[in-house]
Amino acid sequence: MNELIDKIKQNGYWKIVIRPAEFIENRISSREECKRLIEENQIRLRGWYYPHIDGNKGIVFSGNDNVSSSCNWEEGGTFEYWKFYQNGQFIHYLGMIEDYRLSDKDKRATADSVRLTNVDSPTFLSIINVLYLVTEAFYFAAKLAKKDMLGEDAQIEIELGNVYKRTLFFWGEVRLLFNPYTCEFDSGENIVKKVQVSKTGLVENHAALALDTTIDILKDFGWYDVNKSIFAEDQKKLLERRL
Amino acid sequence: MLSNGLQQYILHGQEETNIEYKESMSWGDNKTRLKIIRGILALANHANGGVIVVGVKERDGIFEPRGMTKSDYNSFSYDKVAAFVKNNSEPMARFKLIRDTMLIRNKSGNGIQEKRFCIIQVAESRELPVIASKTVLYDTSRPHYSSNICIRGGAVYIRPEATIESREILNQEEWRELLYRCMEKIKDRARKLVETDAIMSPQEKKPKRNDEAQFNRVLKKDRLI
Repeated sequence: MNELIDKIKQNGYWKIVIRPAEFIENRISSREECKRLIEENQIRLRGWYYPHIDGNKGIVFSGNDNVSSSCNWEEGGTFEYWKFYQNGQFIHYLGMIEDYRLSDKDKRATADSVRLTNVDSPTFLSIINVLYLVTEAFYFAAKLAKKDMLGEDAQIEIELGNVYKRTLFFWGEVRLLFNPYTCEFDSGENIVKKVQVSKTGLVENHAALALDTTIDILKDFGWYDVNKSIFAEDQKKLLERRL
Repeated sequence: MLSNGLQQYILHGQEETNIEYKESMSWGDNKTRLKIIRGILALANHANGGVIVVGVKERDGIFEPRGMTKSDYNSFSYDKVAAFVKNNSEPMARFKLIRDTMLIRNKSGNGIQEKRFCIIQVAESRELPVIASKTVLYDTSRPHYSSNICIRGGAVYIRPEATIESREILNQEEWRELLYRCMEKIKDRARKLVETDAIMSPQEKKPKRNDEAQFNRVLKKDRLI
């Protein structure tokens, strides 16, 4: 599966890691139990569930202490791979769909709409996709924590790769952006957000933690005065399945 | 030529809580300044701000992008508008002035004409709401009757969804919504202080268990990082 991860990393990508703070090798009794935990705690808020389970192969045993699933869907521009270990660690790579689903024409129109000038090959990141994905990841982590699979303290790590000169936009919506918000991280430098939180804190505040993390990510694109209440409403719609 | 994004505001065709239209007018005319300042104050308190487009005329409820006359267009400059905004808002409302042209199809559909527009793009206020810093009258020779007051010193202006007009904040629901957004911004700043260790208690500084390195060894073995 490393070929798929290499492919994902060729363009913009997400890496999401959820794990207990304390390492216990066989925290989860078996791979069957790992499989069951994923199936029972999958987040189903929109058409694409989190984490995605391959429709043909389903969840496979990919090692002596882990299970995994992948998605290599060229036509849909969707590339994902995740693995879940008996030690409670979950790692998930996802390609940024904006790099596959936006045609050159779409990119030119998007660049124009955010007043991005003098950029030959612009790359973009959908603001709402950031909010939705981060919210789903934290919600998934909260559900695992609730089942006591992450111990007393859990860590959630969100990483965005190939973000150099990537610009935020609202996909398919007329919303105002005061400036073109572009990530000015050095080339090769990834955006990394790490949160360590107690089990109770995660279960009770997963939505607020996700919202804060989203806003933190947007700041790395130069958007410093994000209106939190607007995104809180967008997030609420997602969590209440009102999309 | 205006970018596609800005053209969308011109062609949108109806006023919204974040879009206000004005027909061609000269900044040199006091009435223009008064019409625009209230809009700027209200949009600065609106979630995500908004735009005032000058050059769109309303006729029988239909907004037509007729553009501005050359002299009206030339009368707008950032410095002039900023001086007026600075004088009448506190903290000063943040905005950009975009002056540019756009190709508009004639009503008959036979030809295309280049029209001039000014767009004042107002940013949402940072932590505190923007207030009118002083009372401004439409007609200074008349008394302070409410109908003669353009903006009232100390008042907070908004653009509520129900009426889509720039007006003073009126009821507790509107205050609640505005204060909630301000509170969130202040909380965010306070949280940043905590994160930078400025107000963290010794108990909170106790290191938490973190076996990240051990977990990462597993991922490295599987060539996942």
